[in-house]
Amino acid sequence: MIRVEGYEKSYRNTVAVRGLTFDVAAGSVLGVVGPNGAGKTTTMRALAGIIPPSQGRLSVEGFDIVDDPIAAKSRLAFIPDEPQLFDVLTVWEHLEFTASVYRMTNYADDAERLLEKFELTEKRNTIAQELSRGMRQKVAICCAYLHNPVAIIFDEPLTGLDPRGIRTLKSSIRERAAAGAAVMVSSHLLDLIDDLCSHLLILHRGECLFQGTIAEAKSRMETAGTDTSLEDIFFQFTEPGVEAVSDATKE
Amino acid sequence: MFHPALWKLMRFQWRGGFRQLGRSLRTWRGLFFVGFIVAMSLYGLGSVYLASRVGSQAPQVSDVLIKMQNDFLPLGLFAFTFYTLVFSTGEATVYFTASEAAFLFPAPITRKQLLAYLLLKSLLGIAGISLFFGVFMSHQFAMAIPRWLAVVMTLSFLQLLTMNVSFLRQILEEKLSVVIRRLLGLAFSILVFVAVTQTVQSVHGHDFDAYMKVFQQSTAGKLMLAPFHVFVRALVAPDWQTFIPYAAILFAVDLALLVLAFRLDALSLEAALAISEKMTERLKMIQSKGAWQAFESKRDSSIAQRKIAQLPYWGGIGPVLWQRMTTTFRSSNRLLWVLAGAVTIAAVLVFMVARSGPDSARTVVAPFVGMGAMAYMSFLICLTLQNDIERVGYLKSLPIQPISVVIGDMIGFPILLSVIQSLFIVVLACCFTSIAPWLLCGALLTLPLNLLLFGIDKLVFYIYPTRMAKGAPGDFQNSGKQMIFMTLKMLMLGAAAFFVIIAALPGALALQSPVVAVACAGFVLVIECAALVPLLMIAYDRFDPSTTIVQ
Repeated sequence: MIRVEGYEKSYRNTVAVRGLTFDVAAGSVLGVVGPNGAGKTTTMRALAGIIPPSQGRLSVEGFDIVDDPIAAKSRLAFIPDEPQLFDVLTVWEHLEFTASVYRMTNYADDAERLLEKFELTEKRNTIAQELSRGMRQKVAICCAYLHNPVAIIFDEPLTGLDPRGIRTLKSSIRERAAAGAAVMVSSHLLDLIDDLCSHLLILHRGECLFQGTIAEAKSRMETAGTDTSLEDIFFQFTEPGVEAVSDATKE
Repeated sequence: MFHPALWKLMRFQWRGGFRQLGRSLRTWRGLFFVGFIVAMSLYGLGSVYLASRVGSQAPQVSDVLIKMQNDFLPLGLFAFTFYTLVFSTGEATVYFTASEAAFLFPAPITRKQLLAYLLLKSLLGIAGISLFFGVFMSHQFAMAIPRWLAVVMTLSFLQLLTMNVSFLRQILEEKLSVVIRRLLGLAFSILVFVAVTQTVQSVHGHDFDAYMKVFQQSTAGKLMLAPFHVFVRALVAPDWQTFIPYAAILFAVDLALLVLAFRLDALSLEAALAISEKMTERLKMIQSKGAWQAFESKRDSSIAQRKIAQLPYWGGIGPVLWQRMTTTFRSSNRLLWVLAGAVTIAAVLVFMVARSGPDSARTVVAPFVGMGAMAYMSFLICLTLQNDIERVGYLKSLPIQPISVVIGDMIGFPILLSVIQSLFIVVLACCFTSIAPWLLCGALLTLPLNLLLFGIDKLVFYIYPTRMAKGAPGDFQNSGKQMIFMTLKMLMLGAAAFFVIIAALPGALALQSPVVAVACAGFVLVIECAALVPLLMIAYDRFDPSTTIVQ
């Protein structure tokens, strides 16, 4: 569903992402983790058609994001870390506008359902300026879900959400994946990745250190005979020296 | 061509703006704030319109205005074109708001559709701004519409030119782009050099008009300015018959640039996103720390070398004062440039305008106007510093008496500002020796004057803490509030200045003694500053950061 082949992004003398290749199949949830500056947001923005790749091919459901951006973007939803809404538009107007962007005609029922699911029904006529950050995030998610995208990309999705909002979002991601969408989630919250994702991609300084299922990552680490959490895996890959020291300390 | 969702977005934003306005008008308070800003705007527009109408009754005034437009407008347009082609990145022309970037960039909307949206929005903005210029330049009421159209087409030309240059820079290889810009810069510089040399060799004396005439009629001058005379002809056309041919040329030029922008198809979402993020960050800075600090150039670690020695504790004043002074000192480059620019431009302009008058007009008025310009710039800077609510919260957490915090926080910035201002005044005194004693005595007043200005600003903020809001369309209530607070500060400053002037007049007029005048004015200023301290202390003590109104 989402395919990245030999993706590379460079800025003059700096290589932000180097030779990245991965797939996100329909129904799977890929967790993208890495320290700051690893290239997570750059990769996601490239998949959303905002940043052109320096090299490589990125496609959504077979449509290349550079050669056929409209077809690719029609099948995709990108939710950035900071919910940026139009201050003077109401919640419902955001949905109405989104429906218009994706040329949807019968969207009202779906929009109502989404509002209900994310507890925004009472806020439908409230302007975005008057919403809390968590509410704004929920509106952004509703807009992203409205056109039933087959590929969904979340960049740090939990920021600002309350516990109930987090639960709703997590269950909605599982539902979307179960319905056949390919989902990518970037986050520094490793527990969220562990809980939600079926696959893992670890990036560090623009390079892929690991890709595979979460179970594979754990099993690879477990051969060392230690109890393995995703946090352990993360540090084993990104800071192997540091981890070795901490193991020695444990012993 | 134009995506239907983009029409919808524009419609929704207009509707949202009117909704916001309607909500403001539902309360008496909102009605008052909106009424205030409407009244002030009408007053501003009305006075400009009346001034131009009165001016048009006197033919000689009208002739002077048209002559000024003929002389300076082509030069201004040439300078803009020169700057755009050689130096500008043109990034301001491809600005999308953060919400537009978030919704539109990942959406199935083509780059050309986004460009059309951007240009339409920009054209609507230009049409609105041009209304003001249309009124201002309307010597004859019947020609208001052509004037407005001419301004719209001129501003559109500037916008489209900058946008195309930005697009070309993205398309061309960087090395090639640099070579082209250098060649253009060289060609323009040679033209300017030749035109100026011819002018200086041909004209003798101090007649500014003669210089302008020869400059414009020189071959190089004609080459430089000829394309821009079309704009002026359209702007000052006395009737429709004269206007139409020039307007047709302008329209064709704008249309060609528009077609070129679409043909280049070089709107880069990546670059537009970077610009949008930069502007969003700047807006946040404006809201929290004020416009002055938001437009501070990028700092690096080298500024850490600018050090101020730790001050003694002084009952808590020392640490607060040291922090304020160090922060100001490390961001003082722009302060220096802005004040130097204001003094130089004002003094040179007055010197040139009064060139044909008596010597006293040049040597007395010019330095005082320079000082006035500097004081005005300082006033603007103080008012755009914007008090930082988070910082006040931090200050309140310190184990220091309120009076020490208030004094330390109040005098840090004015001390540095006064040092810089005094340096400029000394330079002015060296240039204009005949009135040097007056200027040097005036330098002694800079510190109490800045303290008063800064103190009044802080007092109003402590009593009614507000922050600059992100200007939502239709939010006139907020603009009204900002305007009312500004008026309040001006009134307080005016009242304080009244007593200072009253005290200084006898010394200045009767005794003709700068020392006496400055001593009396300084005495009153010091009393006023001292009176502000307890007021500031009470206001600071009552200040509750949790109940501040963040608009």
